[in-house]
Amino acid sequence: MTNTAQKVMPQWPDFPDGIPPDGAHAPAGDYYRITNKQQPSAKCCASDYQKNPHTLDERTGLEYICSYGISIQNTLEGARETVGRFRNATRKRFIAKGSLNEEIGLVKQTFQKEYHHTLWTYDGVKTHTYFQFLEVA
Amino acid sequence: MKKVFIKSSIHGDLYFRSIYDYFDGPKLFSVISSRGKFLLVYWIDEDDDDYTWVAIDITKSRLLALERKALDIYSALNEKEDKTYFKILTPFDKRKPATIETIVGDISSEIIMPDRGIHISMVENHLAEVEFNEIIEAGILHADYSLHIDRPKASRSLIDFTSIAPIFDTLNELLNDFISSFKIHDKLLPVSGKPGSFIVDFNSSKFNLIEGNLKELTNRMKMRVAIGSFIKEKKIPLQALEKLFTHISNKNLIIDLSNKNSEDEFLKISKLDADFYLKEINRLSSLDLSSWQVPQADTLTRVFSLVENIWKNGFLDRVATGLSDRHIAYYEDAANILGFISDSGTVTSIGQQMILASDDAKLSITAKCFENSHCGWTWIMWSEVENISQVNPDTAKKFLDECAVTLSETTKQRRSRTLKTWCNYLQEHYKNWG
Repeated sequence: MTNTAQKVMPQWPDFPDGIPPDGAHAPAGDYYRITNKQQPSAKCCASDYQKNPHTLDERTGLEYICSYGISIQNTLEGARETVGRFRNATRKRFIAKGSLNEEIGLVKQTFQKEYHHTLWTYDGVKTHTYFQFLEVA
Repeated sequence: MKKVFIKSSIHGDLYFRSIYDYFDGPKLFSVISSRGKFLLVYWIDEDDDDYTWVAIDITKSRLLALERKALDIYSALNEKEDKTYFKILTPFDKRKPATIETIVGDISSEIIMPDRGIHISMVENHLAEVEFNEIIEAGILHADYSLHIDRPKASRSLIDFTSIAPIFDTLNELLNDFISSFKIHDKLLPVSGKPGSFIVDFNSSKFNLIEGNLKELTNRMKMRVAIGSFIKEKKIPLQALEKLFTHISNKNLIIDLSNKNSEDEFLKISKLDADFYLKEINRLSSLDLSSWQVPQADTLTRVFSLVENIWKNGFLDRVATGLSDRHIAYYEDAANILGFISDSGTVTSIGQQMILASDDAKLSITAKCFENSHCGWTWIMWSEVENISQVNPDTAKKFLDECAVTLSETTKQRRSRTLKTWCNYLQEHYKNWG
């Protein structure tokens, strides 16, 4: 009988087939998330599916797939442009920075803005703990 | 597959058309209403329970400019084509209904606007051409409102056009007098009618501005409580209401008006209701002025010239007036208020008498005509005097403040100048025939 340490394979939450999509990869580097609180909370990093599954009734295609993840940006400029685009909705918000790695889940560039990415996290991951306050939005 | 953004009490179903920005869900997109109208929807807030959005009516050409990035998001929102916009609340819990309200004004006074120069990120179409065409085709018969006109069960007489047409005219007047204070206007557009107890389905993009007030009025009438102070407080046009109630009473009708999108029956009046409230409404209406009853043409000699112009030519030679179209309209209204020309623009008998009179007699006739006009007589009643020569011209603004409640402040200031000028001038020429 051998006594080797077994690495626990990360599990996905109960996602439908095809989520995360092909092409999603392990992140390695800095990403930015617009948060509701200066100290990011679990709610700040909840996906639309987690907020309310009924939201997905009105979504199709890539929007449906991304509703199981959260929007993040891979550049600070991208995060700032998102804030400028929705100045009123983000007026009480913050930009947080996180160094992400393969432990958190998978990431993919989505939609037409190059800086926009979607992050799908493994089951049990506390996404908000990866992000730290950077600046007021 | 068509996806519905919300079921709007103002527009019916709003279908996603194209998505322009995605950030934890679509946050900037266009929708198409059941009547085939385009709206641009922009995310402005969210809390633990709801998203908040603003939406604007937008023409296809402007939407295409936004899509090809010839128009930035800031300009699309800030230079909207209609004076109104909509504020929408969509609960995360989709079992709860969305709410929508119409707001008159600029979006920039409600929110912090997006930065200038930022364009949409993408155009992701959600409607197939066949689906789009289906909505447009169905939209021809889509109506937001339904007016039901009936008689009491005991009555055997049929409802004819003389019963129906004035109700439409009066509702149109009620709406337009009400929204004139916002300097906007609207039309009631009939979509279809069903005989029997008569039902007319119609559309109006601004009727929602008065719906809540009419619903509250109906509730108060059900309880048989006084409605005078409520009508004045909410600036519900009294003369139009008086016409509506009088018509319902005279023709022994029952009307109910409902919003087909929200299925809300917000106005219901029977002959019994009309008879109960007409005396109170008559009393209030005698001290009420609509916008079209108050002149805005200071120079009386120009009024005389305009009437003479029509009398000599058989029509108004607009070039000969030397006035802009806007000023011609003001002087036509003034001649009509004084009774010199009819609603159709022909010179009346008193108009002819005025033209043929000497200069001094012209002014005496005009003084009497002003006294007899609804505006002049209301001023006399309000002043609690006997004739126009006893009215204090300096009270013109206060008079309009109290009796012309649907006029905007700037309009009241302008028109009070006309009233004061006329009153000062005509009092010198007034002859008391009593």
